[in-house]
Amino acid sequence: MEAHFDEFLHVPARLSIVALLAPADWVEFGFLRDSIGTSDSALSKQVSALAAAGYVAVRKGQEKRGRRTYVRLTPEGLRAFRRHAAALERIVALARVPPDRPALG
Amino acid sequence: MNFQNAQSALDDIHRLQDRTREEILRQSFALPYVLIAALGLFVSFGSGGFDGLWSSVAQGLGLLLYAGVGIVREHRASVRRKVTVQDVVFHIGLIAVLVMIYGIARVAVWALFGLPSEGLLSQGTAAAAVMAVAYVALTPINRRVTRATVALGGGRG
Repeated sequence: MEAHFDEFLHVPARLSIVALLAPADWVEFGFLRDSIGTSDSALSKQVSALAAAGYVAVRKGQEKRGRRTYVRLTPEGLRAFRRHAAALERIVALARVPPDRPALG
Repeated sequence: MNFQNAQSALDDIHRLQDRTREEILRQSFALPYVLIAALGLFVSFGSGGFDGLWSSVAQGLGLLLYAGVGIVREHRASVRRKVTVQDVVFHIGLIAVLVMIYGIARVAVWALFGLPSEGLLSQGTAAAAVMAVAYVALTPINRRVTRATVALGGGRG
C-alpha cells in the first residue's frame, strides 16, 4: 500500500466532500449535499468525522433567509487530500508500467 | 487498492473539483449580475452629462450599484472563494480597458454625431452606453481568465 494512502479519507463520501471543498474557500452545506446526492444526516455525519480529524472547519452563517452552514478544508485537510490524491496517482502510474520494465522508486 | 479503484477515485475527484469550479463561474457570471454591473458602469460614467450635484449623485449611485452587486453576489454564493492578486490585477486591467473604450467612444460620438458635452443625450451618456455594452461583451474573456485562476488553485482558503 502507498505510504501516503489515507484510509480515513478514502471513504467515498469523505473523499467526495474534500474533493468538492478543495478548489474553494467556504462551501455551503446544501451545495455539498446536492453535489454528492446524499441526505442531510449522512452528510452531517461525514462532515463531523472530518471536523473531528481536523480536516474541515464548519461555520454557521446568519442570513435573512435562514441559517446556512458553510464548510471549508483546513490547511491540514488540504495537505492530506493532496497527499492522498498523489498516492492514488502513483498507484495508477505503477499499474501502467509495462511488466518487462521495472518500476522506478 | 488496485489500479481500477485508484483510477475510479481519481476520476471522481476530478469530476467533483470541476463541479465546484463550474459553480464558482456560474455564480460569478450569472447574467443578472453582469447586467446590473454594466448598468452601474453606465450610470456612473454617464453622469458627466448632468449638472453639479446630480452628476455626483449619479456617479455615486453607479459605483454603489457596481460594487454592491459584487458584494450581494458573494454574500449569496453557495461556493465562496477569496479574491486573489491575479483577480485584482485583472480587474484593474479590465477597468482600464473600459475607460479607454469610454474615451475613444466619447471622441467618436462627438466626431460622428456632433453630440453636446452636456445633457441627457451627451457624449458622456453615449460613450457610457458603449462602455456598458463592451463590459457585457468582454464577459467571456473575464470568465476565461477567472476559470484559469480557479484552475490554478487561486482563491481557496
